[in-house]
Amino acid sequence: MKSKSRTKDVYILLENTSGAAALLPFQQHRLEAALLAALQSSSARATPSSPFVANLERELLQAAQRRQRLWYWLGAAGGGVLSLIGGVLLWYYFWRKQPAPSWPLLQRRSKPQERRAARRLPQRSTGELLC
Amino acid sequence: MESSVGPDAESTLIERARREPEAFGELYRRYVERIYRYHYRHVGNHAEAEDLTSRTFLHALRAMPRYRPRDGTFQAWLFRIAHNLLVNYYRDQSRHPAVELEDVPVLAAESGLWERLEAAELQRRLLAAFEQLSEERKTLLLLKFVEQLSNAEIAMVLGKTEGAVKALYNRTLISLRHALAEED
Repeated sequence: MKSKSRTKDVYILLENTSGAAALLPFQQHRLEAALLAALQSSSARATPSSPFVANLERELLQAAQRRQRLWYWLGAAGGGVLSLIGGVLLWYYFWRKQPAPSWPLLQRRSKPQERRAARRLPQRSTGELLC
Repeated sequence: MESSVGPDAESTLIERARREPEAFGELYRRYVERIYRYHYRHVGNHAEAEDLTSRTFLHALRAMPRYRPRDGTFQAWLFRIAHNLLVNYYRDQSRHPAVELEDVPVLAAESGLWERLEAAELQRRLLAAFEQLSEERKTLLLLKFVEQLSNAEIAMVLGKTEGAVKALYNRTLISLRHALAEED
């Protein structure tokens, strides 16, 4: 069906492009019932063979186990690396927080060690030091 | 094999399937026939249907950690994978074999002979008209009538809104009706 509207001298033809008429409820119901019967019965014979189903199940199980093992090792490796990094960071944090002399080994120097250290220093006279 | 357990049992099984290969095997046994039938109904060839079915489940296995129940039901998610593989199959192979019409249905025995013949003729014509539909429309009808998916699930499979699926369904019925009327 075509309708037209007029603006001054120009006529514009508007095409009525509505789709095909909708089905009546009883037509739709009959068509749906026929489709259901046709599609279900034609699909009923489409069943996979038993060897295919069994083989695919075995393949899937193996693939799933491989993936599980991969995730296990990735998790273990990732956990190991993270704990190593965490340990290094903790050590660095405490090392920076504590002043250098607080290290017990440095504080408790033995007498012979001190004497050896003093001997290693260059011996200068008072005159040299004054110049 | 149809899934006959409740949604709760299935959601538990899906959760287990993320960690346990055996639970995924159980899901596989539940859906393998339906996925195979879906592919076979489209490609009309056992070998291709088997290949597509294997690929569907291998994809599902890999994508299992990404599946979220709030995005849709598991069967809709699985059929979406199957549908995407089928789309790729058609794109790659550029072939579109029709399902042979040897699949004319066996009718209920209680019908009278004449009624059965009439119904058989109607179904044959209907299947012929069905084969002329676009892939998307065929998928919609198969998911609705054979796999009994809801409109929301079909929308997820086809990547459309529910409203768009309803509109497509109505247009498909009208075009089928026209195709049947033209033959008369």
